[in-house]
Formats: sequence, structure tokens, C-alpha cells
Amino acid sequence: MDWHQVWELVSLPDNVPIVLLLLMVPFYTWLAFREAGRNDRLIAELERDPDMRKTHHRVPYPWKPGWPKTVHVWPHLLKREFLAAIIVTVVMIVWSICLDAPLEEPANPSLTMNPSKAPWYFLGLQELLVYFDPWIAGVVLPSIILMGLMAIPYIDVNPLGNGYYTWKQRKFAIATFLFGFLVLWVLLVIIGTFIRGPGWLWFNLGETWDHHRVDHQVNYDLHELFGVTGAWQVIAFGAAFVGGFCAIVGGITHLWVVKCMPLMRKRMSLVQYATMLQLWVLMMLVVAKIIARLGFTVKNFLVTPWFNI
Amino acid sequence: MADIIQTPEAQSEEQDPVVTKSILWPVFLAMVALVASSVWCVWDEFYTRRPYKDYQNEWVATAKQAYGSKLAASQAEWTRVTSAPEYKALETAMRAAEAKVAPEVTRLATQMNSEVLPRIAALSQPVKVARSEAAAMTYRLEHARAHGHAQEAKHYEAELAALKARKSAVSMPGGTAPESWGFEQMVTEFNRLKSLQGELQGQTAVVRREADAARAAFNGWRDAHLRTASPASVQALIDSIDSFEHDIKQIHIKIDDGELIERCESCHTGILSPVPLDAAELAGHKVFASHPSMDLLKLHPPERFGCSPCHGGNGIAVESVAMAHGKNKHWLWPMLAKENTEAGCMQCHKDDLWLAHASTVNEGKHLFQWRGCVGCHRYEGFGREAEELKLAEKAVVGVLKDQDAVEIAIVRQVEITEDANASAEAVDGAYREATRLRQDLHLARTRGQQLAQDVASLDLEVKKIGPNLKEAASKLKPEWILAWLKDPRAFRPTTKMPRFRVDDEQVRDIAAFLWQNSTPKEIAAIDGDGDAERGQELVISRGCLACHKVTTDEFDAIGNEFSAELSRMGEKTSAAYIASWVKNPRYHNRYTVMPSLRLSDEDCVNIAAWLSSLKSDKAVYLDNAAALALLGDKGRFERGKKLVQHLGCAACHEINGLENEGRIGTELSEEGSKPLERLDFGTRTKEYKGAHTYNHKGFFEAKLTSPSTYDKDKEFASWSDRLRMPEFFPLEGQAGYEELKGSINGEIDALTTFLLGSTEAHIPPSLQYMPEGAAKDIQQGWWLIKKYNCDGCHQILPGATPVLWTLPIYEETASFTGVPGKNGRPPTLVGEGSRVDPVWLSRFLANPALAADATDAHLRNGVRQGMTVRMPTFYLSERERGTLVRFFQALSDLSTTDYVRPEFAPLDAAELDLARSAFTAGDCANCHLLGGETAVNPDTTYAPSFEVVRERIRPGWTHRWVTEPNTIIPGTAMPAILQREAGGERWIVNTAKLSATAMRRVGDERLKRLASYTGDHAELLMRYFAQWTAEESAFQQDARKK
Repeated sequence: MDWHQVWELVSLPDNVPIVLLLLMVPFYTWLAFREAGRNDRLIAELERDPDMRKTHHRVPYPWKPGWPKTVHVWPHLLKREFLAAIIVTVVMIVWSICLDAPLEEPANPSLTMNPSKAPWYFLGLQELLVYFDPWIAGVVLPSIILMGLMAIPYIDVNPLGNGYYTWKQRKFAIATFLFGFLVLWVLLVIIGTFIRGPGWLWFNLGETWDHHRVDHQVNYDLHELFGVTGAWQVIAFGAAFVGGFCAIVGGITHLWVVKCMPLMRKRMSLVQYATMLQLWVLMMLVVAKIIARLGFTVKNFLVTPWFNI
Repeated sequence: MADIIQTPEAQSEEQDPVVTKSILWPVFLAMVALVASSVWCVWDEFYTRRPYKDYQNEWVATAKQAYGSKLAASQAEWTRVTSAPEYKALETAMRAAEAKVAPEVTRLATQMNSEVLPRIAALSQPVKVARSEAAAMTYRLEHARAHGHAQEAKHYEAELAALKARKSAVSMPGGTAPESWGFEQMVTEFNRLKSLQGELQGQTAVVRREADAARAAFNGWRDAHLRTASPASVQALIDSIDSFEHDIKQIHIKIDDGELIERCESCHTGILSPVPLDAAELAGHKVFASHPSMDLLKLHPPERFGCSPCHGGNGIAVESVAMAHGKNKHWLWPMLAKENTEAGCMQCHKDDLWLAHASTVNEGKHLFQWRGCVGCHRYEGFGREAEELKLAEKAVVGVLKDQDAVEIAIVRQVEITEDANASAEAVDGAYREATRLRQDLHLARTRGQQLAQDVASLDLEVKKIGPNLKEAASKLKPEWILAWLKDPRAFRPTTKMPRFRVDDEQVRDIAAFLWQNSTPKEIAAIDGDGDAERGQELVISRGCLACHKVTTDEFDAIGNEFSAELSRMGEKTSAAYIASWVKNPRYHNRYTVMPSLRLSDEDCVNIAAWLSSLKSDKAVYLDNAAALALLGDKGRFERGKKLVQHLGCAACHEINGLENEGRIGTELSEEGSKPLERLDFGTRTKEYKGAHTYNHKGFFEAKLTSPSTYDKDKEFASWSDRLRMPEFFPLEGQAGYEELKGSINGEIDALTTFLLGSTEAHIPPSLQYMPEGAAKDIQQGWWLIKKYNCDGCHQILPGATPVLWTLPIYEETASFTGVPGKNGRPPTLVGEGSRVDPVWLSRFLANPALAADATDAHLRNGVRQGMTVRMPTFYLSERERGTLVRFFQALSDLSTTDYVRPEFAPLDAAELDLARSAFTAGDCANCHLLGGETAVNPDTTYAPSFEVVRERIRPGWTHRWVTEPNTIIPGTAMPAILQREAGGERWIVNTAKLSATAMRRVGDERLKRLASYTGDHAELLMRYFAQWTAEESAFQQDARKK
């Protein structure tokens, strides 16, 4: 265990936001779930009362009969925001005193730094470069992610959960978000920051980042594992695999939604539902690709002369 | 708070915390934190991030006392200087001059103060106002006209006229009431007064001229003789501490398009102190100490060069010591460690092999060449000759190929002209083409000839540091080779040959290959047994010890380390070989730097007899026959060859079949700026990071100390995968460590400094040193001086002491018989450029005997024929001779190209007689030879021979030499027999200094004639020498015999 290396990584001013991220994201996730649990219990309690059922299920915890269901922004919200603003200011001042801007040497066009890393918030995307073609990881996937995020308000028009924490009312939405954000974004950022060393090799935390490390990493395309040869056969095999994967994942998801969340399906139009399903399947494809690469040394599913998936 | 949604259920007892709970306390605490952090912010900005303030406080507390301690010494120095009679005399002269001009100066000052200045003062304000109003109005008028506003223009014209007509109130001194003056009147009077002021100032200057000169002489003498600052300036420094401003002290330099800001002085407050202070005087504060080399700073003034371009570090940073010194990660040029400071010199002075003020870098460069690093590692500028030779040889091949192709093409064209069926046009074209091709051929041949000359010249210039192994079997004893290869330092600790990490079996393979691979070389047969005692004398007296070190009967290990130590020679080779080698080293090794000492056969045998008798009784060798059997083993040849190739032996040695081996090491020209990741620390990365030596310095030092260090813990597929670099320095416990341990660290520091300095220059181009003309000649000359070890015998720069001069036989006080003493030293070359004719010097360098090869005269020196030590014959190429000549000219601030030998009017009969008399009277022939002598007494006639005076000496130099020899070479044996005529400018022979014998030889009659000569005697002698003939030699020979 090379503690010097660990300290170097953790104390780097660049990495401090990610160390904070490591602590804050689980904490706020836990906090949200605690609030959601309380609200869910309150909602359940209120829903038992037939009179309250229609009107009062949006009341956030804590609530006692006779208390206002909603309060004015001024002063109740603003004074708390003011307090938060002061605290954030203090944190920022202290941070700026204690940690200086992580400036590095002037760029040298003839010398690429190793490892060469994107800003921390982009490290998840950079990590995707390990698994996909540069233009898929760098152009197609970010575009789909951005467009998908923009589409969410139009796909998901369910008003439940607006303004209060809940889990029971929005299980699918919250689970999908947490998976997409925590696993596919935050985790990849953390891997990109702490795990990827010189040569973008995988260094477990505490391993010395040795520029001369020799590593054995041979990956195979899926068709090679299956012994498929011939130009068009390879493309056909890959296309069939990817198509089949999408169909199966899409089908299972559909059956699951219909069986377990009929209400959600009913609230959505066909276009909304189909878009949602497509984004879901694409997300799963990314996951499958990561698992296949890290777990089974599979490079690509679909190999064509123009692009690989 | 109103409840928007009416609820039917009962009111709760509890109050709603969201609405009722106060957050005053949290807000209060947050505000306190905010204020506290803001205060911290300010504190951080003004104190934490400005640590120089503490340093400056400390400086103020200590500097006053430190300067105060200098006051007494300064006072004493002041007293010493001001009580000197010269000072007093100058002071008196100055006061007298002042007194002489005082009345006139006072008169002028009175006029100035009473008539001119008060009137100017009274007028200047009204004139200024009136002029500026008129100028503004003129501007408006002009622009109105230019824009065609006729009406407005007219208006402004009127205004301007009104302004000029307006009267202003002027209070002239002496006047009772303010007068009313017009514009013209004011301006005219003002201009008159101004010109009067200038005139009076001019007159004062003219009147004061002598007084000013006297004052300047007085001040100049005082400043030149004061060795410390004057008490007044020390006092001023002390007083300045009271008004010291606590602030960032910075140097701001505009360079090229950017700027350089150096804030080092913010903490290093005393670094440029006009009165140098050291740490001890500053209560131990090293940070305030003055720069150790003010002479260096005079060459590189910080206000032009800054600090960080040489030292590294971040000149702009003042936040912390680490930041300012650039020790933070990502700062590309951290401040150099103390022992490597001179690496900064290499920024600009990579091509300077020798620098004043940079002994470490000089040593590093010397070692890089001397230890043969350049054999394996390419380095821009080093080993240039071998590279150029390779290129030239390649070019020759190319040119020959071109010639062949052109010749074939000509034949083709000729065939066409001879073809009966060819058309008239075709034949015509072919003729023309053939003519053109013949021109090409001619050009190619000319180019070929030039290249052949280059190759011949470079062939003389290329040197290898190791002996020629092509003749190994003819030269070396077989049992010695085996012992030597195992660990050269076990045989001779001071050897340049490094230790290779080879086992016994590999040693045998290598030895067998070298033995079988060598070509038998005939050894010159020289008769005679040789007298070892005489041989020892020769080694000491002929100058061998300027390069070699040896232990003689009297002295332990004397001489120089430039070339191999000569001890234990008898164990290595035979007397016959040594004799043959010293007779003609280039016959045995065409790449040797060793010159011919022009030894007679007898001398060669004597030297060989002594050297071959040098043996150690400690040595244990394999039996000769057994060694021969091992070396003759044919089975070892191939294995040995592979090893020799792999280990790069051909980098230093000539080996049959390996003449064109490339360099096996990595190029080091810019090793200091190689990215750290590209230096292979092997498995030691973690260890070095932990020890904070994961940097270039750490890498170089460890690699030089133990070249195999980065092989630690590695797994090798074969022996040849290991690091190849041999060990140049013994490790503790190895052979030679005890003898060398005192110098190892110094040499490693020097080489590390050299490598750390081997970077791309990062300082602004306008600050870089790009020598041209004389400076370039000097730069190039040093490479040859060091290559041929000229400074082993000769003093090149004032104050230098060549190794040879330090031998006991050349000591100043050496007076025992048969020992040359101070006058027998090889001559100093300080001022050589101004002394000798450049054309002659080139000729002399080609053949220092100035005599044909086969003659007896060839064995002695051409100029200083009486000297026992020889100026050897170096095999210099014409180009090298030119470089050396230019070097000496440049050192004397002369250029080669503008030298034209001055012509003198021939001496008429009377003048010739006078000159001859002066020469004889001065007894010049007592020390100087005259040419044509057969027997020479080395104890007295060490001075240059007059045989060559005419071609050799620049006449202008003679004049100064015969009049003031001590100003050219302080402490020379040359007497000054001329003196200035009392009350005149003429130099005449000082009869008081003449010896009775010499005067008798001249005779009274001729002495009288000489005394009545009205011309300058030095001038006469100069003309006499410049037109010296063999006849004069004969004449003075006769005179000497009288």
C-alpha cells in the first residue's frame, strides 16, 4: 500500500471536489431517502382518511393537523436561503485561502502529459473512451445524454413528487436517475480520477503510479470469441447481437412496466413511452459494454469498417 | 401566518417549527464565521502570503549593525588612502587650481545670480501663460481655416491679435511697482535672458576646465585606491536602513516582447549590497548575505539579466520560500542546488569549454570529454571531428558515384554522335549535352578534391581517448590484459578506463578476441640498451609530466592526469615498444593526442629503459604460457567479439573491423530537460519519490555513482539486457576507492551539474550569449587548448599556473645545478597574440623545430633552442592552426585579418653601427641565442633565438618589450636596459646597467657615438630586429667572443 501515492491523489487541489463528492453524494442520497420515507409514511397515513385523500397527499413531513400545508417564500424560505448563502460563502473563502488554484506548467505541444486528464466533471465521459470509439464516446453519447435530459420534462409529466421527497410515488424515475447519475456518472468520474494512472492503466487505490509499468491487456471483439469470420458475416453477427440485445432488454423492460407499473404506462402517450424505452435500452447497452470490457475482455460487439459498438 | 387551505381537523398543541422556530442563532454564528473568515482572508493576503515582511524586519534589525561593523575598516582604509603623499599632492593641486579660477568663477556667478536668474524667475510665469493662450488660439484659428469656416477664422484672428496686444503685469526685481508688458516685449526679453544664461554657464565651464580636471584626477585616484567603500557611503547605507521601506523589491526588465520580473531582493535584501556582507556579519542570516561573486555580477548585471535565468526558480513569486525557489511541482525550472548552481551557466555557455567563474561546469565539461563519455553518448559540440569526418567520407562516396554516373552519361552521348543513322539534330543535341555533362564532371571532381582535403584535415583532428587495440598483440603482455580487463583500477587507480561488470570467463573471451583480432605491428628497431637514470631525467625535463603522472626516485606521483599514469609500465609492455612509441606515437595510434617530442634514438631507448623498469612487486599474474593459451583459444573469438561490440569498446579504442561502430549510449545534449517520466528509474521509482530524489539530479547522481543501480530487482532474459554503462568511479570496497574517495563526489557533482545544464535554453533570446568575431575565436580556441593540453605547459591567462610549472625543477627558488628553475619554464602565452606575427605562428605550430625532419636541428626547439623542455610537434590540421592563431590574436584584442607587417626604412651604415653597439652593449647575446650555434649552455641561454626574430616578432611589440619588459611579463628575466632621457620623451641606453664586459666589447669610441645619437634607441633597436639578417648573427657571435 503506497500511502504517499494515496495522499498525493487525495490532496491534489484538483481532486478535492471529488473527495467531497465521495462524502456528500452518499450523505445527500441518504438524507433524501430519509425524508422520502417520512413523507411516504405521512402520505400513507393521510391517504387512509377518505376526506384527505384528494387534497392533502402533497404535504411534506413534518406535519401536524392544524399546521399550514404551505408557507410563504418570504420570510420562511428566504431566511433559510440567506443562512445557506452565508455558509457557502464562508466555505468558499476558507477553501480559497487553503487551496490555491492547481496551476500546472505551460502547455508543451511536443509533450503530452501522462496521464492526460479532462477536468474532473468530464472524467466520466473520458472514461467512456475506454469502452467506445472516440466519436461515439465523445460525440454521440454526450449528445444523446443532453437530448435525453432535455426530453425528461416532456417524457415524464407526472406531477407527483413536486416540492417534496418521495420514493413510493416515483420508484422508477428515482431508481433510473440514481443509476444513471451515481453509477454511470459519479462512479466513472471517481474511476477516472483515482484509478486511472499513467497510460490510462487501472491502478488500484494505493498502487504506485509507475510510468514504466508493464501490463498485459488483450481484448477481443465478440465475433472473434465466437469464431465468426468474413467481412459481411462479422457485421451481420454484430448487428444481430446488438439488435438482439436491444430487443431483449426493451422487451423485458416493457413486460416489467406493464406488469408492475401499469399506472405509469397509462399516464404516458405512445411517443413518450417509446422514447423513454429507447433511452433506457441505450443506457443498458453502455452498462453491458462496460461489464463486457472489464469483466470479460470483450472489446466490441459490433465491428464495421466505419464504426464499432 | 394565514393558513391558505382551511383544514377541518383539530389544531395541534405543538407549534409548527417551520413557521415559528427562530434561526437567529445559526445566522448569528454564520455571520461570525463570515466575519472571521474575511479577517483571515485579509491576514492571509497581507501576512501569510507575504513572508518577505518577516525577513525585512529581520534585515532592518541586523543590517545596521552589520554595516556598522564595516565602518571601522572603511575608516582605516580611508585614512590610509587620504594620508598617502600622492593623495595629498593631488589635493593640493586641486585646491591650487580651484583658487586660481575662483575670482573669475565668482564674478560669473554673481552676474548670473543678480542679473539673470531673478529676471527669468519673474518672467517665466507670465510668459508661460501668454504663450499657451496664444498657442491654443492659433490652433483654433488653423482648424477654422482648414475647415473653411471663414467667419470663425476671422473671429479667431481678431482674438489672437487682441491676445498679443494685451498687456500683462510683470514685477521685475528692483522695480517698485508691477510694470505692464506686451506679448512681444515679454518673449523677446525672456529669450535674451535664456541665451545669456547659457552663455554664462559656458564661460564658467571654460574657466573651470583646469580646476575640474584636477578634481577629476583627485577623485579618480582616490576611487582607484580605495579597496572598500568610503566611510561616507557606508554611513549612508546605515542611515538608509532607518528609512527602509517594507515592500516588494523588484527588478523589472523589458525583454523581447515580454518582461522579466524578479522579486528575489524582497527577502535577499543584501544580495546586491554595495558593501558586501557575509552571513557571519549578519548574525548568521544566510538569506541576507551578498552575492559571493561580484565580478560575475559585473559581467551579468542583475538589472539586465535578472536572477532566475541563471539560478532557476520563480522570480515573480513571493508567497513562500518553496514557491519563490520554484520547488513546487510543475515549476519547470526549480532553483538549482548549491553544488549545481553553475548548471545555469550552460544556458548560454554550452559551447564555451572554459569559463571564468565557473569551475564546476568547466570540470564537468572536461570530465565529459576526458573520461570518454562522448565516445558512447552524442553531445552537440563534443566529438565534432569524428562526426564531421564520417559525413565527409560519406559525401566523398556520393561524389564518386555522381562522377561515375556522369561519365557513363557522357559515353552514351558520344555513342549517339558516332551513330551513322542519327539525325543531324540528334547529333547536335548530343554534342551539346556531352559538353554540359563534361562541365558537371569537372565540378564534381573539384568538389571531390575539396572533400578529400577535408577528410585529410579531419583525419588529423579526430582523436580517441583509448589506445589503439589493433596492435594489442604486438604491444601488450597477455597476462597483463587479463588482469587489466578484470578491474583496471586494481592495476592503476587513476586510470580513465572504467570498470565493466564482466565475470572471469567474459574477461577471457574479450581478451582472446582482442588478441586474435589484432594486426601484427612492426616495432621500430632502435639499438642500444638504454640508461634508465638518464631516461628518468628525460621524462622529467622534456615535459612529459605536463600530461603524464609518474613516481620518480625523488617524488611521489608528480605530473598531470591529462594522460595515462606511467607507473607500472614495465608490467604492461616491453621496452622496445615504449621506445618505438615515444619515437613516433602516431605510427602506433593515428588517433592519439600524444605529439612527437622529437627525441633522438638514444633518448627513446633511455626513456624506454626507465619506464619499462617501473614495476610493482605486489602484482600477481597468470603464468605467461597459460595466458597465451587462453588468449589463443579460437573458440572464444566470436563470444569476445559480441561482448566488445555490446560493451562499446570501440567508442574509445580502435579495433579491427569495428571502425564504424555507432554510439551505444543515449544522446545527452538536452538530457537535463528530458521529461522525468522518460528517465527509467526501474523499480526504484517509489523509493526515489519517498526520498525526494525523484528528479534529474537524483537520477544523474545515482547513475554516475553506480551505473547499474536501476537494474535492481529486475529480471533479465539474457546478460545483454542489463545496463551497459561501466563504472567510472569505484564504489566503496572496490579497488581504487581508498585512493580516489577524496575526488569522487566532486567529479560526480561536476558531471551532474553539466548534465543538469544540458537543457534547451529557456532564457529570452536577447539575453543569450551569441559570440561573434573575437569572442567566437576565443570560444573555439579553448576546445583546442584543452584538446591538446596546451595549458599543461603554458600560461594562457594571467594568473594561471600550468601543471608543469609546479614541478620542483621549475620552482621559483630552484637553484641547484642542472635544474632550469623559473627561467626554464615553458613560456607564458599571455600576450602571445600581440607578440608574434600570426603567419609565423601558424608555421611554428606546424613545425616547432623550424627545421627539416632529418636534421639534427629538428630535435631541438625552433625558438627557445636552449631550453631542455620541448615544444612538441602536434599533428595539427591547417584549420586547427588557424583556430589557435586566431585564439591568441583575439585574447590580445587583435584581429588576424587586419595585420600587415609594417615596413621600415633600411638602416644606413651609421645607424647599423649604432644598433650593433646598442645590442652588444646590452649583452643581449648573454641569454639570447643568435642562430647557428652548435653548443648551447642551457643554464644561461634559455631566451628565444634571434635567428627567427625577423619573421616572428611584431615590431611594435619589440619597442615596448625592450623598454618596459616588466609590464608585459611581470617578473621576467629580461632586464630593462633602456631608460627615458631626463626631461625628454626619448628612450636611451642606461649605461649604469651595462656590464663592464659588454662595454669593453663595444669599445669607448663606439659607446661615445651611441651616446651622441639623437634618435630614439628603442626605435633603433626595433628597426634593427625587424631587419635582422644572418650577417648580424655572425657579427654578434664575433662580438660575444671578444
